[in-house]
Amino acid sequence: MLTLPRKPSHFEKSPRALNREKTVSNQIDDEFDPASEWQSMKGELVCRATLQKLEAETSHQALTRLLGIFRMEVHKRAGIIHEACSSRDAERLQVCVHALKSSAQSFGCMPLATACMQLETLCGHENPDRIYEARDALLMLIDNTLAALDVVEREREHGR
Amino acid sequence: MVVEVDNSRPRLVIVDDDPTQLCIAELFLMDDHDVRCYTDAREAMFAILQDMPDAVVSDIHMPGMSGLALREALERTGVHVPFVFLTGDDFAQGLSGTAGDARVEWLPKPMDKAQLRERVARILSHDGRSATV
Repeated sequence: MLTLPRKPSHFEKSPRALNREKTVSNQIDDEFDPASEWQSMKGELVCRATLQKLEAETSHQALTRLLGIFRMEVHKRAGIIHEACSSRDAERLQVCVHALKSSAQSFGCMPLATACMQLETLCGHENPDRIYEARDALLMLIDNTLAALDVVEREREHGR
Repeated sequence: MVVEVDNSRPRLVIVDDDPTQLCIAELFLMDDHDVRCYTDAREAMFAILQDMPDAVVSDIHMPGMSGLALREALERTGVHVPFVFLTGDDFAQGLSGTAGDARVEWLPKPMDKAQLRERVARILSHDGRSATV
């Protein structure tokens, strides 16, 4: 059977990580603060120009269908992110946010893509606490991005 | 009922565990190609072995079997089908061991329609198939 090589999970390695979900620490031991960094990017959660290009390359109907699939996929990925963190499965989390990053880029959701990329990088990081910080910020950003997509989709319908 | 198969259109298999990427690639290519889509690399492998396409367009990072593992598994069984790999990973190409292989093309994600069609046309032309860009 062919499988991807099993990467060491930092969730599994750190006793601190095991207590993380019960013990919330306000201390962040590095200069990178995902929550505040992504907060500053909320000016444009969804790039309309990217969606317009995708629509031109496909069709209005096709983009409507694609956005529906994307929305379902984002919901599914959010669930996987929760599950992967609960089971301390860094590899699953990494694969999940990697895929979400690509989808988010395709639909012009660049802050979401950036957040995914940063969490993907953190999956190989020494300190699992930062993974949980990034996860929380990413999940918040997912909610905000979906809300922004609602607005864009309503605009598309009314502009039709 | 008689099902007519257009043998003049290149036949492609697209593999991506992400339904959005799969659907985008299908929409970009379906005008000039016969396209079959799979979200699972193992399922795609069985389909390729049963009915060999002219080329495969595949994601790299997928749970279970990666795109590179799919190609390796096919090569081991003597199936030498050209691949276009889609990747959001800047380093995947350098680490893949496919440098200089004319049967392999790479395309970064997010996919650009013109670039995808150009890569597919190029790899089909290497394989003696013509395609419209």
